[in-house]
Amino acid sequence: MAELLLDPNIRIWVVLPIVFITFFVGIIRHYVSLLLASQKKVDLQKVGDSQALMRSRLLRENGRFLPRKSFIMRKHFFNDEETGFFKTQKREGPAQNPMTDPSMMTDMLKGNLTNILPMIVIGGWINWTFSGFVITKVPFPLTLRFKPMLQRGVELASLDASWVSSASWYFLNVFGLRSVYSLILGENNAADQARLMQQQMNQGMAMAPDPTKAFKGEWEALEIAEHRWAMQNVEEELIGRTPMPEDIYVKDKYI
Amino acid sequence: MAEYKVKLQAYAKAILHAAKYPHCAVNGVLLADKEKLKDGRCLEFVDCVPFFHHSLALAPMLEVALVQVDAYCQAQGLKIAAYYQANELLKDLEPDSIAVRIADRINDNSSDSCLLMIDNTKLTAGCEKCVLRLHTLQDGKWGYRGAQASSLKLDNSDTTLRVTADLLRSRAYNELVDFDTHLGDITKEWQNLELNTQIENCS
Amino acid sequence: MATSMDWQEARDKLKKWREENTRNSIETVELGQYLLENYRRRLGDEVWTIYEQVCIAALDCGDQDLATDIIDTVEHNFPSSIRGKRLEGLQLESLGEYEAAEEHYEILLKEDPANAMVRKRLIALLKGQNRLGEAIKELNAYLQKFMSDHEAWMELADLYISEQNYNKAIFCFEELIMSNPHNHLYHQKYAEIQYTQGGTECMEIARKYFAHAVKLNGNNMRALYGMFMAATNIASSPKASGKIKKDNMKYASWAAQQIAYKYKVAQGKDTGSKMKHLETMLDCLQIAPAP
Repeated sequence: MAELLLDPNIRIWVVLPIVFITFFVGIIRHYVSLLLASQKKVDLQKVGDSQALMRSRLLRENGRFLPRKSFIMRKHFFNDEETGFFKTQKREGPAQNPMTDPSMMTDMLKGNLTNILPMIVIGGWINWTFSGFVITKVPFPLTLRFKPMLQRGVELASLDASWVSSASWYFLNVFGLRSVYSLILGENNAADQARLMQQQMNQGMAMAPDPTKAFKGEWEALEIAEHRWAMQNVEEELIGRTPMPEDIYVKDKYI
Repeated sequence: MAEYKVKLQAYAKAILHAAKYPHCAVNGVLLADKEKLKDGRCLEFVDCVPFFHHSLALAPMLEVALVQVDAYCQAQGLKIAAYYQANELLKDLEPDSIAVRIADRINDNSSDSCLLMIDNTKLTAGCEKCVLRLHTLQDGKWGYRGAQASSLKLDNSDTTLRVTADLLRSRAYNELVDFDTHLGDITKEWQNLELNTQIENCS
Repeated sequence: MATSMDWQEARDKLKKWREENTRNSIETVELGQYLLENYRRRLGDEVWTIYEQVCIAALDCGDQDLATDIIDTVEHNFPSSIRGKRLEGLQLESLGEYEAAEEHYEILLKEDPANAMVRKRLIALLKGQNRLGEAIKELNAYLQKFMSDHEAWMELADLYISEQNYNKAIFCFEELIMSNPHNHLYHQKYAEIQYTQGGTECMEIARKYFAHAVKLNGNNMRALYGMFMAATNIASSPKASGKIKKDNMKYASWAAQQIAYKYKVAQGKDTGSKMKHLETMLDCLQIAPAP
């Protein structure tokens, strides 16, 4: 197959502009989100609930490091029929619908405004302006499976998979510029999307949507948790494991 | 009642210890010469072993420290003869129950021993005054007898204070190793031999 | 000293101290001032964290002028930041104006009731005034809400230790162990408290946890010594049965060997005399154990 030859103008007018546009959009987004960011107020009760859940989870996982008495005492604190934390603490129903809470709405709007919107607008625009270009080639051979990833917008069955189309180049830039941003804007910047997504995941984990349900689940899990003391034979294990100092000495002496 | 005299090396090390950990309570012991102890009247502290700057109230490491220092003293002809402590809070001068307990225990072995509190408010860069407050045992209780009645003296007072101030200025406390540090890294010695030479060179 | 240092090196050093909570206030002020005077632009957004760090260090050293300057700069740039206003409260504290500081914090707390930092300052205020009982009460109330704040559990344990309420300190350390069961320091400290508490049962637990700390980190001298002391203590108790005595003697001698070995390695070959004290000490403990 004959090698493709690209017009040098493609480099100047397509490859570099896409890099610059994505880069500066990232920078602008960082500052816009700084402007729009509102400090999130957390509800004291919610913090308390999630921390109690965390503590109970730790008890289940690491309770074996405590003496038996201490383990039972803590289990009692959470699970006792009459006075247990999970039995007595009643929380009102599921978390509010975001639509009823205007402050949540604005937060969501702001998030969308700075993240999704530019992505769609710029992505769409680039797709529209530069569509159909094959603009660069990765310097190593790739299998066919990479075609949909690297050649979005160019549907040529016979084209080698190492060629990159303009739309894909844009996406590669969006994700690839992350370390450049952290170099320029410092750690934890808002231009970093992947991290942002991770944060959202974490928040979802920490704040269970419905405390009553979470409490019940944790109660059940803790109820069946057993205590097997990790320290039962710790001395014997320790002494058996380590070679005696004399052994080491004797060895060192005569070698 | 016995008289107490603090030699330069003992005083300087105690002060440097307090200066090294300004935000913690610190404690330690002062050592006296066994020979001189016998002829009574005057107790002379020649050396100091700084102990801890973390959780003074826990027994096991304190026991280890006391036993080890005791073994060292026996080899060197010294004796543990006083306990010193600087409290965590600036204005807190009173010995707490832990100080009293340790002092009691030292007293079991050495009858004329005393309890010294470091007065944090007087601990300045210039070292104008002696900052130790003497508490002695009377009728089974440790009490402060007031500055006038105090029979605590610095040996060669002016030189001692001047040298201590010099040491503070040159940040000699960075060299000081207390028992806590020693336990964290046993290549560092709580005897502070290098610091001792430095103190000697200064005077 | 500071001027000869590369600015990046200085920045990294400050960062390290910040992360490890090292309290090198004098050096922090020196380095920080050097950085802030010469390289403020290059620091980027990190400059504000450094401002905060230097401000706290300056207050620790009693350098009120520097602290005031920094607080003004911070407030000018972040007029609504609670974290910035906290610095003001800290300054009031360092000046000894406890009531004013308390008022200041109360106002901040009204703005944001879930702010853990401000709540902790209020507790620290009580501690600073030697009102330990109240501090303990407040800290307990705080922990009811923030159950997995380990720093707070640690502080509460320290407070209980200084009140000699060892039982409750033990409880706090159990929380810490659960939070991070692979940290040998928690196990070691827990064992130390159990040892201080005394009694056969506690001694046994202490020995076990010291042993576990050694297992996690063989170079923890405190744990080795502790294991030795606890085992000797149990072995020498008049109530101990033959088997218990034998087992504990075994543990103690194992720990003693380890200790002696560690010292040998640490001190090289030239120091015979120091080893001697150690050996006499270990021997004399084994024959006539500690009271």
